[in-house]
Amino acid sequence: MSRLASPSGAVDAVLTPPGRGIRGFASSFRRRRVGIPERVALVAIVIITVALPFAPLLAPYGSTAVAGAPFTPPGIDHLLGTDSQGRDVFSRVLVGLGASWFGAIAVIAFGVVLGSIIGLIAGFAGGIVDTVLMRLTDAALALPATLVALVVVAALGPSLQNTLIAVAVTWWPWYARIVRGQTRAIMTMPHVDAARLGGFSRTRIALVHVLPGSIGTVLIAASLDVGAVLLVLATLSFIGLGSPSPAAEIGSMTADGLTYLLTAPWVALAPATALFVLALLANFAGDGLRELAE
Amino acid sequence: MVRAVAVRLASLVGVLLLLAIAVFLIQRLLPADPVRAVLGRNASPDEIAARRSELGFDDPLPVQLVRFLGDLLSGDLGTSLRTRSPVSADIAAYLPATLELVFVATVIALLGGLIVGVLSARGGWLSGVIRVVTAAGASAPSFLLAILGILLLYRQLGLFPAGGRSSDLLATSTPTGFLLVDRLLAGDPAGWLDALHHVLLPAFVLAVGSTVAIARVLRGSLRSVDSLDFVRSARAKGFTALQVTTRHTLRNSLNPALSMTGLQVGMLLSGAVVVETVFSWPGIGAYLSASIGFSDLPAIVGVVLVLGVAYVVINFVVDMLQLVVDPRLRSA
Amino acid sequence: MPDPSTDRIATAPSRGIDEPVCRVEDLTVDFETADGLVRALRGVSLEIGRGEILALVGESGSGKTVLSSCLLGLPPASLKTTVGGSVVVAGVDMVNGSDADRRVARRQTIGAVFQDPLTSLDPMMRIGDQVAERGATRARATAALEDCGVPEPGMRLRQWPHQLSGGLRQRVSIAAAITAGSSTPRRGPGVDTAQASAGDGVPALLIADEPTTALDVRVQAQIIALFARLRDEHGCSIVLVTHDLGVAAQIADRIAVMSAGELCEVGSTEQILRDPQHEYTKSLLAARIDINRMPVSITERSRVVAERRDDDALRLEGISKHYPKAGGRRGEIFTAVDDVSLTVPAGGSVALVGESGCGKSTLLRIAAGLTKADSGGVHVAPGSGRPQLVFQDAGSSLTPWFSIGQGIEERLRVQGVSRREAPDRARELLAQVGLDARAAGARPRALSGGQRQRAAIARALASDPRILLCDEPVSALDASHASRVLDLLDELRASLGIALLMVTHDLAVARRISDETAVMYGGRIIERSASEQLFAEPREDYTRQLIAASPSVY
Repeated sequence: MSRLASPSGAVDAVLTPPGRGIRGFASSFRRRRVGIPERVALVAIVIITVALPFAPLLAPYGSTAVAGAPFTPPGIDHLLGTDSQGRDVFSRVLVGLGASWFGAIAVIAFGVVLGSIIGLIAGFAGGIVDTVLMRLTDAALALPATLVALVVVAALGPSLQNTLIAVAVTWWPWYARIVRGQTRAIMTMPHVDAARLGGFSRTRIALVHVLPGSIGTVLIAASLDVGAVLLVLATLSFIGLGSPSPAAEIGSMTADGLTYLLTAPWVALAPATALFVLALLANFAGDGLRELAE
Repeated sequence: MVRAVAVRLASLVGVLLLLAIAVFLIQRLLPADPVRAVLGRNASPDEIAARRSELGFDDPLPVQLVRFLGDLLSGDLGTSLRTRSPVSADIAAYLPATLELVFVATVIALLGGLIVGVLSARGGWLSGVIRVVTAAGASAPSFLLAILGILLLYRQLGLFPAGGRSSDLLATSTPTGFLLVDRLLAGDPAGWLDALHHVLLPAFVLAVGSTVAIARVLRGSLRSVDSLDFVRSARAKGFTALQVTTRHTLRNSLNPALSMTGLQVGMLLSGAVVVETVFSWPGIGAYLSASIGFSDLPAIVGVVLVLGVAYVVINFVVDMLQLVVDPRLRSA
Repeated sequence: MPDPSTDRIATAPSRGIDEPVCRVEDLTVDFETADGLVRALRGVSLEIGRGEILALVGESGSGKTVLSSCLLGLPPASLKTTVGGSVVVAGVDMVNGSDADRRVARRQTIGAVFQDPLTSLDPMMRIGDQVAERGATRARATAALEDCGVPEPGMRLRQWPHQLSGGLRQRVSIAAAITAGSSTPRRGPGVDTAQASAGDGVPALLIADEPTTALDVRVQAQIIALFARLRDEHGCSIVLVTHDLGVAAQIADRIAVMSAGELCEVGSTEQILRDPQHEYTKSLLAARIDINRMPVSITERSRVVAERRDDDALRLEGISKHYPKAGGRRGEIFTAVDDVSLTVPAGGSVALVGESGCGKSTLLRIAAGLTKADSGGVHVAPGSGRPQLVFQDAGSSLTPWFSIGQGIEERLRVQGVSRREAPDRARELLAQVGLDARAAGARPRALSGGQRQRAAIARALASDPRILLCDEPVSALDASHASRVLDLLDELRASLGIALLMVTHDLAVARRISDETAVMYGGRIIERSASEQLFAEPREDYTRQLIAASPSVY
């Protein structure tokens, strides 16, 4: 129990608390509690998030414009070559990555917000409210998410926006379950009983004494999911559920390139590899965040 | 035990019903107009109205739902707009190839996940290497793996064929539709090896993501079980690390990994769409992909329903396996 | 099992350390942590004689558990550890010996029992398989279970751990620990087989790490009696790791006192308890809350109560509470509290004692208004404010993301204290419970257990209660902190006139703090009287058993 007490019993000197919050993160970062790949990834992800909104400006050519002869191999003029229409692959990958990245973040953010609200209400209210909400969540989880998303997009009509909506509506139950579980666990902790005895309103207890305890867990789970959502979005686009042809999307670009895989491999390989690198960075950064939080 | 099984069986039925209702509602409430899709752009309003009432789209929603469920139970999934044949017949033709692919992929993912998970939980330099490899595996889109497989293993090294189920392009698979089973039944070992040779690369590509997911969950639960007192007791009884792992740690860590396997079957079924497209695997995924290009909603819905049922049933089986593994669940 | 209320078990005579089962020489253990090197053991040397019970006593962090894991040759693996010196058990060096030798020694010579009976058995393995895991026959496993006082041993073999109670599980753990590998096969090259076994397949050395801490006192007394029998009938040597000198006094032949990784002193039980040499041992004895030694005269307290009796701060009338039975059929109910009435006089203190599951904590939660009673009423004297609760686990009773000051100020603001005055008032409250003003800025996790409990009390005081409900407030604390927290509570009662209702499993705590004591059993109060009278002349047989089973060094 008394971790920091000296065994001899002289205890009343208060030790400085180990830092938490932003300062705690910064100090953990500096004190090498986080592995090198994770640190590189965290820095890279910050840079990417800041730079990708400007992808259309950074790209040397327009993402849908013809920029040279079809199937020009990678070289000085076209870093990653050109595709069957003579469009610059590098520019298209850059724009496509931006759309994927912010799409994935939007899906996750929507899921976290909706899931947290539902999870908190279910966990805090308990009883019949909890039962109903959690049955709904469990049922949603029991359905194969990607397949349901597929029907949704098919019915709405293929486009990036519809893909995002479809994945978002199938993704939130995970977070609802996490937040609900955390909330139930926190509700059994004495500090919540203590708050009830303090005479605070139920809303205050839920928001101030319960919710903050689950936010960390759900954010970490969410950060570890960004990579997975990137892949799901690209997969749906790959099988033809993204925006129609000229739009620069990683999945559909790869699918288009498949036809020429043996003659012009870069057309398919470049977007797929770029997505891999982004997802890898996202996964390492998620691990890094988790390590920072521990 | 009986009660535990009954509870899970009831929830299986509930989830199947919910799946059907969800798909029904998505079809009816979202803007896609199935009648216009059938009749084409040039149909007159009168024609459309007549066809609507003929197809029952003017009935109240609950009536339509009951009819939809009735059709499902009798195996009627409607008619494909693309192939003009019943969706159920199309699916029956393509499903075995997909199930075969997914089955082989599941075996690879389960075995691979167990081995990689146990090795990475042991610590040391190997676990560091595994960590990097699994991180890469979790981040690689399946189409990238498929492309790399074709470029390296087919074009560069010629180790594997690039597509199809068999070298004999005209081969049909009877009686079961599962080529690996049929060739075995026909007493054709060379043909069986050929079929295995064809399925390995796509199955492996399909399995990578799931292998990693299972391995990670197993690693996490092995680590947390490892710090429990009964593992300490087992060490204190003088058993080797391997004995302690196989007798105590692994068995207690298995259930989370099993759950993850169930979830991953969903990923494998949807991942099959990509892998079948790339490897020209004549399965339901390639059929779905083609249907999407044609906006063939009845076919899409039919495939999703069938794959969804497969997913839900497999997760029920996983639940049953968990009951076998954990005595505590049986009394609940 | 024999009657648990037997007298202290007589220590067996003439056990020398001429041929020790285990010899520890200059043992040093360092942990490499993120904050640098931590020395957990500093040159410990010790011998454990054949057929003796040696108690290893110390507070948390003293290194006693690290030492016991070194005896097993299994130093804590979660951290990077460096071990120096040697531990020789039956001819095998458990520090420097080969892996194979050490394993064989563990298989044949050593048995281990851990603290938490709920986690020390594998939930997925049948009892019989766990007891016989080291290669014993079915008959041998059954005999071991019987030896350890497990009723119907034959039937237990096929049961799963979750089907047994905590006490029973601990007996099964002990049965598994004393069922060593058969001594014929797989003999290690370095193992001195003559020393390997104490006979009958019972290992020569049993290491028990806080084996009774999670158990009720009567069960604790039974387990202790079981250890004595293992020593007397099988000649087994036992290392009993405990934080409680009282438990050591009940059974040990010798006591080793540890503090901060060092061995302070080793001596016969008699010598350590009656004539301690080391300052630390003296302070440990002085701080101990012992049922047979009270610092304040309770006679004096009882008189105070008599004067105040007409003025009740809290009155519980006919309280009942039922729950659905855990694991039972639908509709089966368990009566946690059964028609209980109790009053707490203003400024008085009442202790509610009983074993786990007797309903005492449920009753306290009902009194606090955290749980609704099925029937009966809770009456709080007008103007006394809402009763506040002091929790067993002080750390988790403080909102982890609040600083201590924030937690107190939040309460004060609800009470109508202005934003400007709140910080000053919070510091006053902290001073009142003996905490430095700097504690206001600290998060709960930065404080020690005793400090956290003080902070929790300060927060409760911020609500200005006339009644303080305490749920095992010191059972998670080391003795030195525990007695000081009890003193604080008593002081608050005297200076502020706050009435105390304290739930505790520890009769010594009840005797020390309360004017009156009520004994709960099976959801009912079976006996209630002034503390002095209750401890001097208990009426109920159950109360007598509880008192007799309470560990004491006197």
